[in-house]
Amino acid sequence: MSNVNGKRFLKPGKYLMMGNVAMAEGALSSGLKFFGGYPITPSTEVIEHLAKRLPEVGGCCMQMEDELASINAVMGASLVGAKAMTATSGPGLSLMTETISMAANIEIPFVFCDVQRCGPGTGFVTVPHHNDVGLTRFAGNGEFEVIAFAPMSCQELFDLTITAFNYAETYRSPIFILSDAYLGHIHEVVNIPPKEEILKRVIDRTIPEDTTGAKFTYEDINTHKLMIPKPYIVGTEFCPPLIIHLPHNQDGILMPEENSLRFMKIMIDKIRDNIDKISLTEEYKLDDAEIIIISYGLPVRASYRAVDIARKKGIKVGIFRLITVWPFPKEKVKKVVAGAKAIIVPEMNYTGVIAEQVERVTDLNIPVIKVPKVATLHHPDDILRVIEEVAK
Amino acid sequence: MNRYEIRIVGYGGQGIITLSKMIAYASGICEELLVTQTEAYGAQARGGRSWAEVVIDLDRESKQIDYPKALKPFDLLVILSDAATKEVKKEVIKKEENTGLLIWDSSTILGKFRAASKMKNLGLPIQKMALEKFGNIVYGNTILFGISTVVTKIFSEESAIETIKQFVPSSTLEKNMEAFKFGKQKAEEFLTQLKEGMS
Amino acid sequence: MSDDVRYPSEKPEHPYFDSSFSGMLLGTLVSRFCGGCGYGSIGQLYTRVFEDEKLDPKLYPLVIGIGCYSQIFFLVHKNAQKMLTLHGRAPAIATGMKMANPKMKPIIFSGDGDCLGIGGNHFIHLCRRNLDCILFIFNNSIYGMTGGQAAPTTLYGAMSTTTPYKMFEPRSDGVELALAAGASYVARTTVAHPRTLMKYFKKALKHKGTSVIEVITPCVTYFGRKNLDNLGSKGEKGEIMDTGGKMFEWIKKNSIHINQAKFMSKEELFNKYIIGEFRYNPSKSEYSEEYKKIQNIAMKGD
Repeated sequence: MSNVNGKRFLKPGKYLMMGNVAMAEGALSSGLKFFGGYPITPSTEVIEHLAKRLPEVGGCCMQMEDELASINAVMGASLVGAKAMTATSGPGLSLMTETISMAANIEIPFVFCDVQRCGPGTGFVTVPHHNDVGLTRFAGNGEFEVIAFAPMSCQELFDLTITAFNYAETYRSPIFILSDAYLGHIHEVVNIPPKEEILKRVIDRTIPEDTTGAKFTYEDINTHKLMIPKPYIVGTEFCPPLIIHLPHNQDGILMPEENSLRFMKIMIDKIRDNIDKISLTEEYKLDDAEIIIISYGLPVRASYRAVDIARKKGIKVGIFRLITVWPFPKEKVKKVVAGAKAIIVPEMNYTGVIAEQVERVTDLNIPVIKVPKVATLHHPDDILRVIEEVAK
Repeated sequence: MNRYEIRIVGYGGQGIITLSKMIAYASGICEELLVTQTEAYGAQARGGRSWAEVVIDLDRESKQIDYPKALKPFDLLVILSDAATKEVKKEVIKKEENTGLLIWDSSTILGKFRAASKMKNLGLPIQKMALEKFGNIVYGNTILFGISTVVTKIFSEESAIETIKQFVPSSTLEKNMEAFKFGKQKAEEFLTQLKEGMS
Repeated sequence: MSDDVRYPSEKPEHPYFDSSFSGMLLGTLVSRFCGGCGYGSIGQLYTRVFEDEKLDPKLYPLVIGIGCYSQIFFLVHKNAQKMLTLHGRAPAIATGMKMANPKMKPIIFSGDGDCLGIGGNHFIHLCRRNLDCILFIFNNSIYGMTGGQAAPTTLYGAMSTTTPYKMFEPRSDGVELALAAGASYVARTTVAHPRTLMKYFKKALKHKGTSVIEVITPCVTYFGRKNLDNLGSKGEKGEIMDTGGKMFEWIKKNSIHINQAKFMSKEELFNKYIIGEFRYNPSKSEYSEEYKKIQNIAMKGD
């Protein structure tokens, strides 16, 4: 791009930006210092853009030998206090799961961008398919909770990437951005806010003044609340003597085997306890809605239109949008679906990963209708047709 | 929601993706309309068949473009290669009076292009003219942009000039401006002909 | 015996007692290694160099891979910032650490299965980039932690639980691989030569670039107890290596210095370890310094 100045922040204003580039710029704005990646269609623009931009801001962009190396390098960089991320697609993600699981254990923050493509196997590499939604939730061995964002426009790719980095610093859990082959390659107008506004939103990686405190999440003895300290940094005083990915206590010291359950509880509950703060959702014309559309990512755009048309025809329909797909906001959805006539879940996959989650919290007599699409986008008419059928 | 659909098809290297980005820039950044641009990706874009699509929302009240890819029938279809002529059928162009136009390059489409005669169409030897008048086929792109400025009526001439300044290297700006004016003039001629033909 | 000769009434204090046994931090003082294992010595040697050279723990993080040697964190210097990483991925993690904080010089502990098996790719590319770090390959020619399976480095004819008849695959050579991949300091020594090991380690600390030091170490439990010192070759009467002493003797006998090896035939060197310094090239450009130049170019431009 010709209008990029060589600094961390772009000049405020409007840009015609590709989705992948918008995400990369969002990461730079939040202070990205290290990117490790391996080229894989359709995420290559992220590494291409950062290879040019990161050295400009004094960061490092490395093309590693494979996906395993890139995620491990990202973890290494994050260990020494750099904000780090990687970008890949489904096949790369499945290789990286081992390290994601380890990072969850030692509570290393990093952001992981998954530009999804059509699978399984190599599949069609240039078309979208939200088939990693389930994989991200269960990425890696062991039990841990992840946070996953599902943006639906280039502007959101920019904004949510900043939020994702903040979440990584706050909750110290693997953070995913679920983009896809279309969203990654669409050019849209992105409005870049002024530097001061971005800086106000960004949480920096700093070490606390008191470096003797806990380094890992722990349960406060008095309040029984889970406390998540700031991430430790190797190479400073604020670092445990040993970083080990076995069940450990707040100082990184091994737990006896019989205490593993307590450790698991901490791993999982640090996200679940904060679900109200973490989970971002959006409601559209839900107040009197009888038919509810629950969706995320690109299908939401088509759903908005379908709802507008259906409303004109007198059908009471609304949208509940998941901006964070994981952790699944069980209680919120339960409240939304109570008393609904039917629920429609348009998803860009055949299984309906989120539809299954919705079914879990819905009464048995309320039908949950999937609208699957693979490799193409939902047209508003696809959703409208289902709405009309249900409303009959 | 008032969608304006543009599709450009040809082969790799003709500047299809740049043209689509220019249209998107002029309408999205300069005119502040909602716009999405999608393009051929991967091996297609380097050789063989290449395409790009732009959707512009003329309705300023909308929040987002619901379906980011261009939908048939198109408001503007630009065909630049023989292979692409196959996808031109009667129903792919809008029938309304004020929109629906096919632009094709008669210097790159050498075979018969019968389908074109069934719709409003503007066939010009764009590449040939670019080579003869300006010395390089890359100016064909700017000629096409000039034509698009006139026929789409979405963005003003000032916006178009601003866009050209953003996209072309400053050393060739003057020539590009000439090419742009040339394209505009051709398109205006075509529109007056069209009006006369109708009345 | 004259009167002025005095014998100390008690043993002198262990000079490195305070700095070793980081296990104290973890609430245990017990070494987890088997009798005859070489890793205890390696941990102690690391601690001695760390203490003698007064290394800053903040600049020399210790990255440990997965294998029997992972337990070494109980023995090494208590101030060292140690991290246990994934099987084979230690070089990749060290790469990230070094590039995010170029002042650091990570010290990587890895095993033969770690570095030449599962993490072979990372090892090759670490050497190719010539990233400033020290990589130890502890070669006991067996997978000890999982119970004595064959490793890529297992010698021909050796018994292991996955080669119950005999090892028949050609072995891979960490030093040859490092040389081919482009590491700028490559050496091999054994636990039976502790002073040489310390010398190489100290040299590597001063060297800018990837230093690969392969250390041959004995595994009595899974290698020695099941193998004869002639590794089953016919015509020789072998002796089973069921003690640490016998294994140390075997390692000494089986290691040939590089200067001597020059005059030996391929057949004579079969199943032998060549020890010594193979390459020392301090002038080769180092990755993080090269990247700094790229950063300067990028920052200068608009």
